[in-house]
Amino acid sequence: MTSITLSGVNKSFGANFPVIRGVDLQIEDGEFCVFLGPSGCGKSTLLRMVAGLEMGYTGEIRIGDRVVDKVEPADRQVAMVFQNYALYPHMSVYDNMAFGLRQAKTAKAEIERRVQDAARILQIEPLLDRMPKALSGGQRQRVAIGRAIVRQPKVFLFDEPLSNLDAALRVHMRSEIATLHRNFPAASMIYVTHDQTEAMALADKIVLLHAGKDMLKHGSIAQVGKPLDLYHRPRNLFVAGFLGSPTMNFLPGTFIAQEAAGARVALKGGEELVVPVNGGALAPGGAVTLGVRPEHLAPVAAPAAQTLTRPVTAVEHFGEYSFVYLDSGTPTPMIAKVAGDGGVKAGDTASFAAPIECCHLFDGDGIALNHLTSL
Amino acid sequence: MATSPITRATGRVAVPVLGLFWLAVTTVPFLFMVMTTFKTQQESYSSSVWALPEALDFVNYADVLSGPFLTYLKNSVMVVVISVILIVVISAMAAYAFARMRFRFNEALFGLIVAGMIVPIHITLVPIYLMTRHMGLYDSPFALIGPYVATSLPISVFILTEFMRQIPKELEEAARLDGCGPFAIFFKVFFPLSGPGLSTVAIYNGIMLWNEFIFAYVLTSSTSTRTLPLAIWDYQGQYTSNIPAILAVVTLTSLPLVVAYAFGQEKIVKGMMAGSLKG
Amino acid sequence: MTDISTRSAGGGAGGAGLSLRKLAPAIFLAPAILLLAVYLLYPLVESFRLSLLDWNGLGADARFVGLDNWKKLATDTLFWEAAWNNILLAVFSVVIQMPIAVVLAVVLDNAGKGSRILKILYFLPLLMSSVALGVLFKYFYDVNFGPLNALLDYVGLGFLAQDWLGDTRFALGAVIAVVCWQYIPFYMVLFMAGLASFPAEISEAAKLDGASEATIFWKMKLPHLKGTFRTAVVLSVIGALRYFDLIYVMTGGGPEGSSELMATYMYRNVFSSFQLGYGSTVASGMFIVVILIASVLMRFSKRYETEV
Repeated sequence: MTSITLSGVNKSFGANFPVIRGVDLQIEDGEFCVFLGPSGCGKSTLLRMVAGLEMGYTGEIRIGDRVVDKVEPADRQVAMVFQNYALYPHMSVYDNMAFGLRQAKTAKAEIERRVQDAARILQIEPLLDRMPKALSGGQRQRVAIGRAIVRQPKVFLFDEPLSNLDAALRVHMRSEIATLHRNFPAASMIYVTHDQTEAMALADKIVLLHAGKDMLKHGSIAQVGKPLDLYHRPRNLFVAGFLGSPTMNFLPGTFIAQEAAGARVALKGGEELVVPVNGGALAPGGAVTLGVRPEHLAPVAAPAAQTLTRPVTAVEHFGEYSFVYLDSGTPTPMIAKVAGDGGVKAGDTASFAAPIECCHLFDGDGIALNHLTSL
Repeated sequence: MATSPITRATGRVAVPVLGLFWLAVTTVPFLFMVMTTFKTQQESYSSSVWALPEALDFVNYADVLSGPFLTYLKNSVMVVVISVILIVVISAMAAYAFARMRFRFNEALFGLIVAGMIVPIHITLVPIYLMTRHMGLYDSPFALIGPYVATSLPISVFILTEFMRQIPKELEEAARLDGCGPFAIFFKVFFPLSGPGLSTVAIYNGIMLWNEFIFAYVLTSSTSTRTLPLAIWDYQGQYTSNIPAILAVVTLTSLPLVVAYAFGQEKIVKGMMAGSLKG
Repeated sequence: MTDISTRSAGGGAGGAGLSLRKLAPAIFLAPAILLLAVYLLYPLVESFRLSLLDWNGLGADARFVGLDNWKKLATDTLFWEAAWNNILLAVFSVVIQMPIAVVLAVVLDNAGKGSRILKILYFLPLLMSSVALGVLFKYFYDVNFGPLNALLDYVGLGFLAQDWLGDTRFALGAVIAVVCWQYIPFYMVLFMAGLASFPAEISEAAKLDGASEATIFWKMKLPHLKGTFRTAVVLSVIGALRYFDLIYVMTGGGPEGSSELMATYMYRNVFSSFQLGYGSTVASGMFIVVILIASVLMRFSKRYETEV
């Protein structure tokens, strides 16, 4: 039983500088959970609270059946991998990995066995006698992971573990962490990152956190769910905008009426689109925001129903696909991601279909309206 | 390129000229000292001061070493070694608390201790003298250890606190997750990682205390209890006008540090600059 | 990786661990605070208490005289002359040492391969104890047998020869010269570090803009040393105000008090005249003077905290 439960957790730095508000969260046994959010959203703080490094919060944290709010970090059966590795510079790789076990007075033979096992899994056996100074960034990260593995924790905590690596290595280590998760199915993992690709690639469950005003208004948690749930059914504008690259296009409009197929919306540009959501609660003429992802816009020859037609301001070619920048009438351009070179150039006027099932609608407060059908 | 030929030419001349000039200013007094030690007392009066000694005569050194010089040396070594060990351990412990622990009055207390750096130690002289007599430690080399350690603490705590603040806090957190309490974190992680800071503190205070005069002068009185700087003072009284013999004492007392310096100039320079340069 | 954990699930919860953590700062600070309390704080307070006594330090005949000693100190010209000498020492230390130290730092900065060995040799005086230097220079300045007068004679400046330490006009200056001789290399190293921290790209950019080496030095490097100057001045002034050893060894404050400093005056009162009470007043007065000047100085150089 190594589920992790956070109930009514709040934390402030100082008297009136809240960083975490109203977190209720359940992480299941063996689950890979990613805390995702912009900088300043408190995702690392939340992780460190689970680790026991951050005290002085209200609410309750349980690991398994045990309330751990007053338990020392070492006694929580958690292991943590730090962003800057935090290897002890004066100890060899072997000693770094063995240090925690020695502190726990583990038998020498057992230490040897565990360190060798971990080294084999991480392919760092030849490095055991080296000092951290003599290792590359990727090797250091492996040792840091090895130090976590040997403790055979019930929970692995990762604090932005790949941020200090270069792009190519990051992708490689990402897949290794995924492998690690498969190799230790019983351990739960919490992984903090600001990188949505990492989150999408690794997570069983994403916890997307608000920062700043949103946090004060709606609490820390923006949305919890499987990666594709957050991608396809964002609960509000923040979630919709945070996941996906380039980000979702947001087009201001007004609600006209609810129809059988969904809510009919008039955009600033003049088009009317139907979004398959329940707009029953909206007043006709009320301000709404239409959201549609760049990758869902499909080029069409001429304006028709459920299309958007705009002047092209720029085109970026990437070979396999292109980004077409369109004048949306707002300061932020609308972007369409199209295959090949897109067939248009700056100065043209182009039309794009916005498939009904890919459209999202947000009310005046930025909250997503419920879809009529589930996925 | 843009430098005029004249500036460059002056530079080419001025640099070696000034460099050698100051070298002369620095070394001439030392040359005079060493040269004189090889002269007899008679010779030091009769011949010109700048004349080379008639023979390379070690009689003055032999004379000094046949006296209680080695007792002074032994006392110095003992007092300095014990003091420096205590200073390093005690100031490292305090520095760890200031650099890494959260408690009330942390900053105020740190400020107070650092302010101790500017207190003229002479104000403590009379009370410490009376206290030492009271404790029955007067005229014992051990009387020096307390004042030596205490007066060295402010700057040492300051240097080591600055140093330990640079140690990433994640290392401490990793150690906590590895099961270390505050004591294990200090002894197994912070103390070993503070090596360069500790050696700076050890070198700086070692040299300062090796040369310390006033406490030693006031708190000890017999030959058997006094340290090297007092050797010069006592010999000066004893030899009165035998300049070569007195300068032989000066040379001998300076020798240990000069020898140490020959082995680790960079470290000693850095250590002596401690507190005024970072690290 | 099932249930084998390094720690038992129930163990170590709460209580003992946390309270030790709370006590830890006290335990870590205790030795330092204890020593400082006994050997720095208590003597400081005690000195002020003693300053209210008339006592020769020997018997139990200490007499409480209130502020009498302080009244005496206020009008004691010997003390104020000594304080004035401290200020002269401070001022001349700064005025003489700083320019020479900067020049030497620049020289070594441009000396290439020789700079390391020169720096090492220049630094030698700093390893010497003040007693050693005091005795050495006492003979160096000796009126009859000293090499300084002999040197002046040799270069035809014999008429400049003096009884350097025996003449009220020269004694203080002669000692100041030794102080400077010893400490200039210290400030030189300080300035070298300052110069080394000057970003090379800036002088390269300036060269591309057509600035000469001289312009770069005067307009860029020297202003860059501002912080180092402040540190150097603070160190040098505070050092001068507390100065004792070299003066005590070379002149004992004489002749006729012409090189007396606050610390030597204090020492004479206590250990030569056996006036422990008044000596403590002098010590306490010295403490007040030093703290006052130091705090004014610190206010003018906020960088002290971060640099020293």
